[in-house]
Amino acid sequence: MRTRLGLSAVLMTAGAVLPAAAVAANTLTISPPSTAAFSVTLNGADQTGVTSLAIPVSYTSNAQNKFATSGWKITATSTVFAGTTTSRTLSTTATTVSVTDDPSCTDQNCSNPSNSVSYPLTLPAGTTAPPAVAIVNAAPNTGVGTNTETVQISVAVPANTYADTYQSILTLAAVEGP
Amino acid sequence: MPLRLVASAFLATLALAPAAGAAAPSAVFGLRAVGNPKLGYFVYDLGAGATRKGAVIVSNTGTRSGAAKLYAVDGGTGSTTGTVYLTDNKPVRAGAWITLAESRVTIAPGKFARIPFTVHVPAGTAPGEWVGGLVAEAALQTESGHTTSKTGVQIKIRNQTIVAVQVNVPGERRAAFAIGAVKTGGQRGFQQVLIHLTNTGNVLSKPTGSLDILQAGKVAETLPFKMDSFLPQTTIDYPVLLTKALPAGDYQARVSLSFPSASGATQAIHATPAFSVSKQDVKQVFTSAAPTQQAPGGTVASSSANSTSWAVIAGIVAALVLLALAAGGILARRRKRALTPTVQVDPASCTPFHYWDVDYDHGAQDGDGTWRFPHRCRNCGLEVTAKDITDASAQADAG
Repeated sequence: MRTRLGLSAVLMTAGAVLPAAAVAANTLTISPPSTAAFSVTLNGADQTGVTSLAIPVSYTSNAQNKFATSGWKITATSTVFAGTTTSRTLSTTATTVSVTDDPSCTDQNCSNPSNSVSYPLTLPAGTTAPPAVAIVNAAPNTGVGTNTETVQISVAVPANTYADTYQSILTLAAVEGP
Repeated sequence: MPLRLVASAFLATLALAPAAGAAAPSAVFGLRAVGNPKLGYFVYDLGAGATRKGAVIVSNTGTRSGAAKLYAVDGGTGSTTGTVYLTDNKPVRAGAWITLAESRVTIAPGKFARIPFTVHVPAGTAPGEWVGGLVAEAALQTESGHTTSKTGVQIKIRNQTIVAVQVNVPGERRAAFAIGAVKTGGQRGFQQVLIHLTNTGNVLSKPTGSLDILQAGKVAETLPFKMDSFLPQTTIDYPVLLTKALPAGDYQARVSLSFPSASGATQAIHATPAFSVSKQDVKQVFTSAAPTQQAPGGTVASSSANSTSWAVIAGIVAALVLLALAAGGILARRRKRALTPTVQVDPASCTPFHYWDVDYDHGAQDGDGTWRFPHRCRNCGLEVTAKDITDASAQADAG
């Protein structure tokens, strides 16, 4: 008995790393790529560059995912696109996003998210990333299991843009909350 | 401008088409609210001055060991409503009440760590529903083996997982909203009306409402809307997408907002702010719709075969454009080089002949109707205005 109590005390220690067999259920994760990139050839006209991110969203719980009922959302914000050479920036409203859900889902009792977000949605941007916006959500009792959300990112590149490599940091957050 | 455009096109074309960000092995962090398996986040009833202990489980469901940064943040209301978390600001409200036992944890794939925390509500805190959050953030990967260094637009992605910590401080509950000014916005063909709204109460709410657009007393458009969570003591400019474009003119907005009162009954407020749409507003929305869309950049998580094809195509295109631009560049230098004032002229270097660059973009007509253009000798830097290189050489020889 003392031995078992001692072991429990160790497991409760801050930051203790527990074995895989006990991995917690009811967990929300997203697995976006670490980078995205595309190019626009300047031609004297306003243009829009487009890229897409396929983001697996895993929302699982124990009991065959039956506890994963509260729903979730992905929020996003960004830093303004800044030229690495010229330091010039694109507009803070240059980027819009839209999200589509892959109709197939995986894992037990999975379901597609019921999403109430309207598109197109302007992605917030600033020198410091401003407050985020929800770019996709799953109503309660939806979005269970693993779903793939494809985030299309459109960046407006005006005709008078200086040639450069423009960089931005996109912050994506998977959120469980009210 | 022509030269600048050529240079711009040249530089931008160097950029290769869509990077293939095939998902590299990485740590993927999830959070679980210990003791709240069904709700998925923390809800504590805590009086002012009280403290509560809790714990969150950080798991790594990825394929590589990794370090997660752990921190607490304030909650806020996103511009389209819904709770968002201010991960780039130091917390000053509910997030500041939370103290995590660890600020960083390294976890192997398939493992997890239990991280205790405390919530202390400062004495004197007003009653109401307060929201903070706990964040696990993977280290930002600064480099990807699948991207190139010469890309026109690069996006680095921060990956966060957040669970809410809602603290309900006992006391009188009050549901209240204020409707402020209305203005128009939008871009790329999508016109919006932005309604300034504040949750002046102390409870979370998900209002519904409607917006009537009136011109000369007649309803031009009616737009219902349904909001997500709106946190107490937060303000947003809520965008309502118009289904019919508004031309320049003066309008009135009739805004109605409904939400549950503290007793549960439905409460409604109304306002009729006036607003104007200027020609500039219209231009901003509808002329920015002009951009021609590039060929889709492709899914970043596309296969390596696709990325190889893109790279080959982009390489061929870039090579062709380079050749064309190189040839064009030579001609441009000979014929159209923009001239700037010469700093120094060295006549000795002009022998045996002048080699003229001509700026055809800055010609001017003389009184006799003859066009003359700036000429500059590439050898000695001498500048003259002449109708052609023979004329320029004649002027140079004349001294």
